[in-house]
Amino acid sequence: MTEHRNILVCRGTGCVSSKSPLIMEELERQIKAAGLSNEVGVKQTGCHGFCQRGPIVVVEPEGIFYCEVKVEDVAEIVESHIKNGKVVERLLYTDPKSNEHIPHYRDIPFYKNQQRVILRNCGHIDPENIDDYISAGGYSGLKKALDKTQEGVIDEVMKSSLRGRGGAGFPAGKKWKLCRDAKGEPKYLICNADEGDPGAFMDRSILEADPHAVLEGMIIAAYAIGASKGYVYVRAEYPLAIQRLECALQQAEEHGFIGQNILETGLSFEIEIKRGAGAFVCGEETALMASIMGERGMPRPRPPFPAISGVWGKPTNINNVKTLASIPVIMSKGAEWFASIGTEGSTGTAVFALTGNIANSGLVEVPMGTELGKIIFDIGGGVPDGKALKAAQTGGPSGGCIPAEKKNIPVDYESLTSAGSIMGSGGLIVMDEETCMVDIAHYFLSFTQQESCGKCTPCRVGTKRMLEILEKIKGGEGKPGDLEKLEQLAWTVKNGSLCALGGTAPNPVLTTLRYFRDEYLQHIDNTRCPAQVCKGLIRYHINEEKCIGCGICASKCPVEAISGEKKQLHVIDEATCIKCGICFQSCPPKAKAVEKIDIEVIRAED
Amino acid sequence: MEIKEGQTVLDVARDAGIYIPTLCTLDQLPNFGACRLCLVKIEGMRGFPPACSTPATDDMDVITDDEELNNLRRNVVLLLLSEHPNSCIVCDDKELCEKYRTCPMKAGQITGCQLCPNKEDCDLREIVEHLGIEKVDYEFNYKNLNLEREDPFFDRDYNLCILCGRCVRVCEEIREMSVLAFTKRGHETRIDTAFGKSHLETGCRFCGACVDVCPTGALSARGTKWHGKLDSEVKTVCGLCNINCGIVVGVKWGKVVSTVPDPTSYTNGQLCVLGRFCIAPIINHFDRLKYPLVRKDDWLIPVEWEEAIDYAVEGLKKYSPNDIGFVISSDLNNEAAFMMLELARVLGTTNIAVGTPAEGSVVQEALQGGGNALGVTHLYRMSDFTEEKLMKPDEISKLKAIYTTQHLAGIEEAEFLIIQDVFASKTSECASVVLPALSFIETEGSVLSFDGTLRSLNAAVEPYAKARPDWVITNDVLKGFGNENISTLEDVRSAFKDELKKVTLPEMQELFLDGKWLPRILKENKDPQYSYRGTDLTKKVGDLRILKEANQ
Repeated sequence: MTEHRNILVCRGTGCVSSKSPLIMEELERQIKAAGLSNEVGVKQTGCHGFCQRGPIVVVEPEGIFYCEVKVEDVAEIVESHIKNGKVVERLLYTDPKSNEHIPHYRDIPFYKNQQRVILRNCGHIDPENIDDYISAGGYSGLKKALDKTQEGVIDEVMKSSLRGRGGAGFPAGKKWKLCRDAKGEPKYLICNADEGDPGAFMDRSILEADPHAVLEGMIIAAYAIGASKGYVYVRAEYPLAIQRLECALQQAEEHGFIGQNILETGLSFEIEIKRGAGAFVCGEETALMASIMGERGMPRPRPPFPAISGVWGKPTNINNVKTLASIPVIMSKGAEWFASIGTEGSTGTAVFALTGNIANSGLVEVPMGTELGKIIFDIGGGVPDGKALKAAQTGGPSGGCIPAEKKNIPVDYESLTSAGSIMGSGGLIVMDEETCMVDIAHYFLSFTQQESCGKCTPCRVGTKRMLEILEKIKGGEGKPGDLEKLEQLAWTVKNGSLCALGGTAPNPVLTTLRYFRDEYLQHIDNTRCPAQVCKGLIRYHINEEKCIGCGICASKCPVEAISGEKKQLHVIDEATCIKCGICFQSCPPKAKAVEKIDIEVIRAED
Repeated sequence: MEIKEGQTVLDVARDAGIYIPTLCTLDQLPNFGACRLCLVKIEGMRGFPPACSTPATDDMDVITDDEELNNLRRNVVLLLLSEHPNSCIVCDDKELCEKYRTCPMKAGQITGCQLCPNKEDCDLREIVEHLGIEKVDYEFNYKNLNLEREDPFFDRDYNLCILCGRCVRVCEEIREMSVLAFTKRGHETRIDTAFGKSHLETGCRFCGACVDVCPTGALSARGTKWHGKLDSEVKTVCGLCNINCGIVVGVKWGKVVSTVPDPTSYTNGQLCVLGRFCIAPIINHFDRLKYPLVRKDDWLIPVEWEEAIDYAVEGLKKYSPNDIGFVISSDLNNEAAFMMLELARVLGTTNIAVGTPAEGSVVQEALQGGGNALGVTHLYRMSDFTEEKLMKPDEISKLKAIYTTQHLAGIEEAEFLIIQDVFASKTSECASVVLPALSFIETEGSVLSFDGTLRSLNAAVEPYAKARPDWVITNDVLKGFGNENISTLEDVRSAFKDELKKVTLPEMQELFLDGKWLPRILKENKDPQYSYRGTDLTKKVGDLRILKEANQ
């Protein structure tokens, strides 16, 4: 008989949506049926961050990593692996480069090159079981913190040089001190889990996989600043995160970590979960506070800063989920240990939601200062299908595009800012050579434009005017001088806006203009989209010599723009065509008859 | 520069006479920081902090005006103008237009040239001039929103709205009604009511505070929006209830065309629907009494004043004092009420009724008892009459001869009925003599407001038709009884002024500690009285009737 084993089934949102709960049920049933209940435990975990390959099942202690598991695979896992000790090879992760199976979690390049501090427990513990968290060292940071004075805790955080993970990177210890020194009672502590960047899911995963880490961070922060009430402001679109948080809250209360007289120290702290209605701007702290108070989520000018007058007009401290999740380890392992990770100016680790044209998409945690290229190529496995890297966007829609030639840039607050982007809360979107940078700038700007709260003129109207210019450029109607106009508008929006949403909204435009100005000029001067993305500048055409008359394109065309007899040449009626590109994608590889070509624009004389 | 506690950079600059453009700030409201025109440079601060919300400190080094700041401000205003009808702002003929501004509407609504109701008073245009904007470099983006005219009293054209949020804030912070809010987001952000309901449905009281704070023509009083440049403005107080809010009367073509709150008034620049929207339509109502009338062969015939007064005097002389009664309206000013009491004294009767007496708290009495309830009551007490003798309206109606200063149901049957009033009414139709009086907006006089303070009424316009001030009419009747002591308004005043000045109500002072006292008491007043000298104002102002019906 082998030692006690655990089968960990991922039950993060990604894996749940690909039926991991059924896999878990089936595993439990079959383990029981095999009479192995005493030797083998089946345990749910939170997200492993590699949702692309989900559902994920890990067998411990050996750390065998099965991916894309189906319910039908359960029998084989139990029979072959659990009973007979033979790893099920076909379910193992296959390295796309070497085409070899990699059985162990720790050897998979995606994980091998990461250093997980904030995500330390994600995928390893049962988020709905506080004992699991405690046995992984949880709440030891709280105990250590309570042994210190309040100033001592703040000093420790200051020494760690932890900077806010929400985007702006303000030193967390300094923020705490401001709030602690502020006059007014009660004081409030808010955990900002209003994660709004498209494609980003760091905060959600942490709340789903390790909610106690966030709660522990909050309790420590509350002790340090003297807060008696806490809020977790979390998007209502994160039902699983809310459920896990509620569960964790209840358990923490039962264990005396939250409530009156915490661990007999006289400290009292309670936490309330506030569901946000899904406005991007509510991630901005003053808008978030307004939302908590039942008002429209609109930012207000600062000063007064929340530390002086925040929610209900009282001193308030707001930290991001990742900032708070870092606190327990800073307490338990010490500020020096934390500060030894990363760079001098940006200590600790950064969590990214790696996505876009990348082989391995998912959650990635690396020490601050890691080269961008290392994240994209070593962890992310590079750009798939042999295409070249063109750029990467950090900081979500508020960030900027960093061109491929800057791939050696260290990922830290200052370096990203100097490149025109921002750290943001952790979106990282990889773009290949087939991406049009004008289109990308337009995409991000249209997001911030729609999510503007509408309060201040530069953000509400300025971004709209910028978007209109971009639309014209994309449609081949750009004029000389448009870029200067864009820059002037971008300057106005950046400097004139009330909050950071407007202040950073022009970043995608400014960075693409900075690094890809030529591509803009191609659109304007030659009415050509070099990446052949902008619909107004391309048309689809069926090559007479290559078409085999299979009719697939015609059957898939949503507007019936393609005609042709079976086995005969097919023709696209350009007047009807909406340029959706389905014909281009569906044309059989052996024919490759549908072509994307630049349109010939006859310009009216101005 | 001297800095007072709690002052912002904008406050300090304004105190020092330094101009910083703003569109969203408003004195009574907390800063908002939305318009982004007050951005300045402050040594040691990042970017361009807004002057309106940055607290001033002694060691601050502030630049309020330089090329970069003006460039930024100009860009922001240009963005506003890219969506705000702007031809009146950047038109080549602007200067000529400024001079006359009376030409008929000739341009389409989209260009905003002549159809902006706010063309006399536009904060945006002032700023455009300050920044020297002469050309808007954007294609014009008209929002093409429907003009909202379903509700009474004011129109809303959100095509002109620049989303400064003043209306939302005044409604929420000062009036505590929260009828208006920001809705939608992004470029589609609008000012609207919750769920797009009509204002009537939301319970809006149509105080007009939103209209008053709007810096553009987005919100405009329907009845008075097209008058253009006013000929004159006169400060006085409203006489429709005993709070007597300060108002500024707008006069054009010799007529009252608008009333807006007097910001220096003890009511802190707030009004109710009556004071804000109803005075002009009431005063200009066709149903005003225009000429003295006397009954001849069952017909009321216009006559000269002398004849009417003689008729009244001779009529009264036929009755013994016990058969004569007086109805003194609580809407009369002090001078008029004093003269009526004087006449009763001279005739030797104590048959006096004070119209529409209200009972309840001081505030309720003020809101429901008439425009000078406290003054009339005090004057009554001051004379030799005692409260016990005060007659009820139904007692008065039993008398043979009645001299009334208001419409009062039930007295029509009197043998000899003199009515001295502003509006034609059932009472005036049955009267033997009709003496047309001027309203509170056309006469000099005084009222004793509910707080015990004597306030002056100023005549905003020339007398209406042949109507005369109440005190003059009553004095003429008095002269008919050989009493010629009084010839000027000062004579009347000197008889009672010192007495009324002594009226102080210290308990009221506590109410005024809260700057929002007026909105609060108006909000709590569930059954507002819409009457003046016994006339139901909802019958005179159609929009008021709509509001009343909606509230029932």
